[in-house]
Amino acid sequence: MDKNYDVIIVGGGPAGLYAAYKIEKNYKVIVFEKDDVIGEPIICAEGISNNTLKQFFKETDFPFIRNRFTKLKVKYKELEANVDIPDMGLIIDRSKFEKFIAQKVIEENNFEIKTNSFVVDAKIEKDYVKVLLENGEEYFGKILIIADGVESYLPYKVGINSVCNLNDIYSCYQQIIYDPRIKDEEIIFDFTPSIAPGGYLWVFPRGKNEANFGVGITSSIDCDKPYKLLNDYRQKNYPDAKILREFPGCVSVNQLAKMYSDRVMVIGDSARAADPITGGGIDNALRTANFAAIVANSVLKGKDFSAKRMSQYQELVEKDNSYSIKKQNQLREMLLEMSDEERDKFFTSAINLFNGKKILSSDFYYTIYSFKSSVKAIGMVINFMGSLMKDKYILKIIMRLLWK
Amino acid sequence: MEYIKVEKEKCGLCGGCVAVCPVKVIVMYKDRLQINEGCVKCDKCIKVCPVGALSKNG
Repeated sequence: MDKNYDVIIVGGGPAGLYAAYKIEKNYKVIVFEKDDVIGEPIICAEGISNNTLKQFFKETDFPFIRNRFTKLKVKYKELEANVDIPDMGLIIDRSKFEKFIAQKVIEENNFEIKTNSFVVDAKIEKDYVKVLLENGEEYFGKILIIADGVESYLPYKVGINSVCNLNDIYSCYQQIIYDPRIKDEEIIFDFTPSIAPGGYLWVFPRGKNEANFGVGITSSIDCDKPYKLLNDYRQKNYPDAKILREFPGCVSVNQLAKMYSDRVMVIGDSARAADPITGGGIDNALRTANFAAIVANSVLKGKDFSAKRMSQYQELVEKDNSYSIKKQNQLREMLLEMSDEERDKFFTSAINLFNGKKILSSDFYYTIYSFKSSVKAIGMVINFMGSLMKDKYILKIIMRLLWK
Repeated sequence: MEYIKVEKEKCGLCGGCVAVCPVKVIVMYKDRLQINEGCVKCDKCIKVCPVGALSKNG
């Protein structure tokens, strides 16, 4: 059996599968997935923006949508904002979503997906990359795309530093609950520090009064473990909820300083590309996968597979307008460093803006000493809102309100 | 004796410990965590674990 490929992709989640889907059909591509089937297990809150689906798929009808929500509730201590967000957000069935992309990879592109195949090692050689499977099999590729998720291990093997600081990883716990009090049309984010230190609590409606209900905290903060924080909140706010399933999860968010090497690109959660504020990983998994595929298609036409050539991938990622991950990360770090008083002011301003009220930028600026300018302070609030809403049109309206 | 103890029934295989391990001695197979030699006892994996499945042995 010929074990030489143009592209080897490690990881059969949204990032790895989407990268495969976008690679030109005339190339020889294989995807390795460590689990027995694509789409399991799912450790995910399953939120994605409608814009992302429109941008990355040509279809108009998707078989994996659980629920469309139309209202956003943002809470902070006793404050809350309620915003109508028609046609913006979706909760998907991640398992069906992955199977949907996998089917395209197999049927439209005619590529191989090999499950039950854990890649334990990779080595970059002069003319190829060699990967080693747990069962001892070796495969050879001109390009290696690493998409092995938050538990990413392979970048380390090819000399890419992917160690994540405790400050840069959300420790999370989620329960799928049923409660008649859950509103199918409403998504809730609660940033109250005592409920979710350095993170937030979420209620993502799955439809039929079910929700992905979870909490994520910044791992470096000393506090109760997420499963305890979540149970405390549930007993207080949804005392009669029925727990259908529950599981832990972690989301790493500080994007890798270097996402490539000779013949190698790192994408999705393994590149720590999740949204720094929301921890949402699917949107940026598709985005980074798409850029990696663009670069792979172009690189494969020539003979230069050097790190310099592969660096084009990171350039594309960083030039993307809708991909303001650096600003979002700056904001996340600032939120972590803020005093209680500054944080109160920040969220009060954000919630007032969400509610359509004007805020005084000067007042806001003088309270938040850590910001260098009022423009930057406002920019941070806007970024925060952008992270939750992922809609430039609504942001423009808010900015207009703000600058009047 | 290993420095880190994994309680298998608590572990949800979420991968957080692998992400923070500075020496990448933790490997997540599809059905288990494996901790290889070379642990530097930084305790980051204990800290990140959402369910407290990792602890110091003894």
